[in-house]
Amino acid sequence: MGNCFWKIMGNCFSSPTSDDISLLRGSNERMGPRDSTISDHLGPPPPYVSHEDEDHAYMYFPSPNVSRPASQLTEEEQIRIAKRIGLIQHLPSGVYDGSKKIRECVICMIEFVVGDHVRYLPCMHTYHVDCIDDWLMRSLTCPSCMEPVESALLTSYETN
Amino acid sequence: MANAQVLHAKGLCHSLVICNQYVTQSIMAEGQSTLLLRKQLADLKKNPVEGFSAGLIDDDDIYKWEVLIIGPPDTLYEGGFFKAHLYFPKDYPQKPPKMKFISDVWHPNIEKNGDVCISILHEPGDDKWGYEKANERWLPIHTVETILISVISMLADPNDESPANVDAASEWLTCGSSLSAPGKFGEEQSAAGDDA
Repeated sequence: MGNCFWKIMGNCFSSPTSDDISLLRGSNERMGPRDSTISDHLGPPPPYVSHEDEDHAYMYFPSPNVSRPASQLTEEEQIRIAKRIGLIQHLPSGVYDGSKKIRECVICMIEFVVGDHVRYLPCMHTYHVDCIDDWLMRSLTCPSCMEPVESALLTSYETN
Repeated sequence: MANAQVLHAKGLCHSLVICNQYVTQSIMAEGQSTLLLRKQLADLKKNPVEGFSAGLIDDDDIYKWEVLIIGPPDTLYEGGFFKAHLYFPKDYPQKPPKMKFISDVWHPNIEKNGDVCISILHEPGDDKWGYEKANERWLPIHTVETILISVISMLADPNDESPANVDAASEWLTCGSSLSAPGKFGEEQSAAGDDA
């Protein structure tokens, strides 16, 4: 498990001169011109690129109140975030099967539909994968019972 | 346009399944917050909650709400109506809204400019002042209703540990609820409030 995690994460974050970080940075730079071809007849889009950085570049949270794009993270922060992504990816997930016990994702307040991707936290609270993963990147706690996911996960490893 | 960005981002980091997922997610966040806020607005219109009413400042902007809070009974604010605005970020509910009273409110946890300082509107994380427990911070399951219930309870029961308005806090501490300065606690204090 550790191996595969570092393989995945290695791609994303680990090497200091990482191609992938520059790739992420590049993606924003390259997105600008491409968009401008779409909106050519709508007029020049000069302030758009920086605007897009704010709105659409995924922000990471080296600590919960601080958000920065991948290109501006220190190596230590990258490792910490990579570990967190790895942990989140290893939480059990599945496909909603229409169970009557859980009906709604309390984050987006939308009822589960058969086939929705859901994630189960160690406390057994269930959310849409997209809704809960985004939150866990900011705070590793269950929004419903505030149980810390990390320690709950460790406990469940120890008892198994 | 959003689709073009998703596809383009996918093309660039196709091997990075995880990065890919998060890029897509940030683009989806706006749609999610709009849906969620619309749903809450419809719910509040259909089943109003006692103690406040809520609507949009401008019908075209789902991210800016105006609420009218009724001063809770048996408090210094009884009889008053207090107007406040809520400003939601595009990535609500992952991040909390900001709340600002438009009516003048004299309260230990409300800045003199109206900004509400309450722990559930603060993002989780290291608490630089050491006053707030993690479980009192923002959670993505908070709604306009739960936020306002907390604010109404804050009006009745100020938190004097971390005052935003130090003058109001010291008055509160020295005079407590015997403090009688009608009108001082809210500019929209009604006649009933002045009698109290």
